[in-house]
Amino acid sequence: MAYSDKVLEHFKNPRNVGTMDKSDKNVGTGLVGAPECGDVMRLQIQVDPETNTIVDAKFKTFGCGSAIASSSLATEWLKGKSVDEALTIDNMDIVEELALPPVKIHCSVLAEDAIRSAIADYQQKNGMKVTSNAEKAH
Amino acid sequence: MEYETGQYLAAMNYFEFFGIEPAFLVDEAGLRKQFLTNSKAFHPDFHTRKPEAEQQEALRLSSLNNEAYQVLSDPDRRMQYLLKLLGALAEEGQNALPGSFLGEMMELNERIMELEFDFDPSVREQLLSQVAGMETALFEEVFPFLERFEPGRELLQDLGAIKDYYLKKRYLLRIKENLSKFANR
Repeated sequence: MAYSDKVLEHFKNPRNVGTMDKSDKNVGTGLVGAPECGDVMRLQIQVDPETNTIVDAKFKTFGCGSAIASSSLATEWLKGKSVDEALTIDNMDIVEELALPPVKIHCSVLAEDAIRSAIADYQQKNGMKVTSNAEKAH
Repeated sequence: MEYETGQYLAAMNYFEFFGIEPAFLVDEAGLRKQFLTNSKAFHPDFHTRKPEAEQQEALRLSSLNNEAYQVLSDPDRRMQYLLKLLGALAEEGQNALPGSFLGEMMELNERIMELEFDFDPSVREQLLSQVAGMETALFEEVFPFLERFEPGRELLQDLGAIKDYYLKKRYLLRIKENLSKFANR
């Protein structure tokens, strides 16, 4: 199966690969997986508590090209967004941007789940009401 | 064979085809024997003088026999098949595993990646034996559930544990695959 140019570009030059200190109060960590393919994805956000804005985002994904591209794109989109805005990112936006074929849609779902679970982790840590439903049904 | 729970597929399943009760653990030697008996019985060469419809039927049964045997003789595929039959395996992307396990998998994958940059055979050996150890531990944990499974009287929490085992094993297989890529260095 051929990957789209955008997937290849993110795959070859993934943005924001890395790790943040997960014990940091301002860092939210989302860890999700797709057992069927043995994929595992960690996405982290750093939030400025004053403005409730995501100032940085990092990811590390072990999986196929589409999973890597989806999480790479997600971190790009997250930076500069408020937590509430970040929750509006829909997996179908990722599908569209990367031109993912139907068999790879689950990779974008994984990235969306990772965003939600990172935000939930941040909110939980800071005693906030969890507004992201990490287990959103697709 | 009839099942009161009605969870089984209406069409004949592979277990019925081999005349055995659905189970996670099967008598593999007996299965092989039945497979060979079926292969002979359905072999298209023995049906060449029969009417066209019967030849077609023999062909269908012959390929069903091969298909069913391939699935049932492989413990992993058998497990996947039975879990699906029981409706215990969710659609792809909806089978979540505990975060602690995912964390372990993340860590193992990270160590394999380090190995790619800085290969060290002793580290590879150590990772392989770590994965093998996990595999054994998981199997020992799930074995009682596999053993006490009774079709029509299956326990939901048992099936949940078996499903988790099945999914965790996907990760371990993937990791072993990645580690085996270093074999020729």
